[in-house]
Amino acid sequence: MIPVERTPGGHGGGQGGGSGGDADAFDWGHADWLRTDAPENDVVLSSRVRLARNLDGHPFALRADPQDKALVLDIVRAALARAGRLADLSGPFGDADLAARTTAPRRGNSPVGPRLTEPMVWLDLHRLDRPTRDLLVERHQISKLMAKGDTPRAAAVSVPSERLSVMVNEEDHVRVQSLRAGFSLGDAMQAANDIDDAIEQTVTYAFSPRWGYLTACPTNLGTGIRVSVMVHLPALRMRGDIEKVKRAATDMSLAVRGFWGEGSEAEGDFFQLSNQTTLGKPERVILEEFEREIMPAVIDYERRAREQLVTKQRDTLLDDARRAAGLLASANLLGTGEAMSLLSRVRIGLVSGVLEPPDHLPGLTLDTVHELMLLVHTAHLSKKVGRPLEVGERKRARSQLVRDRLHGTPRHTGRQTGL
Amino acid sequence: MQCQHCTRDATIHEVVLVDGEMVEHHFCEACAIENGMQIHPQAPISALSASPSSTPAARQSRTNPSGCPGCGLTWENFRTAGHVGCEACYESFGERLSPLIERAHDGATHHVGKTPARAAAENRELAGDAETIGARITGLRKQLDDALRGEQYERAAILRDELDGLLHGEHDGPGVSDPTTKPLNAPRAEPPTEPGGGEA
Repeated sequence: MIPVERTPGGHGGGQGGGSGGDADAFDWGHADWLRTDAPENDVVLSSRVRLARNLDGHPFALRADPQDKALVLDIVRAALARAGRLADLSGPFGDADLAARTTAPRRGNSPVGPRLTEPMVWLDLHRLDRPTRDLLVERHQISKLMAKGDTPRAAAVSVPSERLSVMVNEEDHVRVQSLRAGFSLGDAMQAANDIDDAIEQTVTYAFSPRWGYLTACPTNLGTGIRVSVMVHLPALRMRGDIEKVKRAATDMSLAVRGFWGEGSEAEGDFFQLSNQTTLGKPERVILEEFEREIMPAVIDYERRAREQLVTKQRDTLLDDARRAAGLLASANLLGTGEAMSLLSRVRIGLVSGVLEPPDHLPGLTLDTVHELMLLVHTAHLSKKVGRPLEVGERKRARSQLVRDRLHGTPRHTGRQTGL
Repeated sequence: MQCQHCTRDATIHEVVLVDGEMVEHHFCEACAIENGMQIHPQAPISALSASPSSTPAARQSRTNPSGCPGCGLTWENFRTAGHVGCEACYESFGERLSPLIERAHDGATHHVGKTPARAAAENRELAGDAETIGARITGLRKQLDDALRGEQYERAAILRDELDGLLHGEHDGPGVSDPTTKPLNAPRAEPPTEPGGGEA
């Protein structure tokens, strides 16, 4: 059991991000789902399962007015509370008269043990300021769609790991998202199912025997499940084989997207592979296809390409990784895309065993690379500096952050490092 | 028309005789339940909101006979947005949607997989539960506003505690009608900790 520590008097006006919830409960540092000690982590960064659900008898987003949306928010919040999943509610009065802090015991490098249920923090997104919403987007906790607009919308996010979130009033009334580090779809699925069942103890989902779970967009009908894995495929890209992977994925009805999912391009050779069809196959089969067919093939393909690189082009690979590390360690202005690309080149050097952290860059570890993949983004930089930044300032702040991390002492993923 | 008890649209209208005179009451569905109305003793409240008379969008659909009776969405609306407006749309536009759905899902025509634990036919009674919670929250907020406006601060504190309790999952706590069950300075209930077992 995770003890939940009450902080009498709350945070007063100090709530991060406005009065939309206890955003201060977040560390904004390293995310558990980007841990490096995870299965198949050399190729698979993270696994994700998303379930789309709607409440029976309530208009979907397209036809819902703000009152309809507020009611859906209240019902889902009460459902999570009844299930004992909410760690803290700052009270419906915006004065933060209740606030809870989690003091989760940690096992190994993970902030939570595998069988513990973490408490979730409720965030009324429409009351949070935009920078805080953008932070949640960058941390993959809410979608870009959720960050925009001011009609009632919310997210419940598990803290401190951020492995589980429930988005309310996104495209669908309820979107459960479960994230795991590395290739761990089974665990992600189980956690998603658990919270789905917990919510359903209170609500009645819109469901038809023919079409399954009824979703706003017919492309999500049926199971409402989206299984996705974030993979790092630098060797296949270097060999010019990414197009082959994309074609094969399309043949298997998979979507290939970038680091940020739908609508994003690949940044730094990070890709998301996900199922496109949700009707006609049970969840178990969709998952098994990923676990037994698709991912083993992709992982094997990338690993073989890496082996060839290491065997035949070791000097070139090392040169590329060292140049990338050198730029990261010394640049004065660094853009996001450039930073992600350089981090990708360092990462392939590290995971292939070619690049050893040089003495003058003790912080150059895989943990640091994963940490920086989140921290180099705009909202994180603004949070660190404490104010919105212009483009030039951002580039300077980003390069400063990266230099500090690489020249500093190594950090380990299990530590929630903060900003 | 606005609900007499909150700012939502009134969708349920009641006419009663009081001392021989007709008196009209106008409620949203949440406040109707909060005020003890027996809207339909057998059907879940959710069935009402899916019926042609219960949602603002549905009222709009009456002026547009080609729209979905559940929400008023037209086929043209769907073509533009790519989204349906409610669960009833899948029945309303079933024939036209079927080929699109099959194409999007590699020819699949039927759901296979997880089903809600509570089949719709079996949970008529339970189905109203979520609505009841929603109605209680709405009602409590309204009563809290009234109490604050009336400078009834003691009552407001009790209502606030009850609302807090409800949002913390203490749904079976004392009702508002029994404000003496909690002293004003009573400490708040501890926030819930997680149950053992399940996984984060």
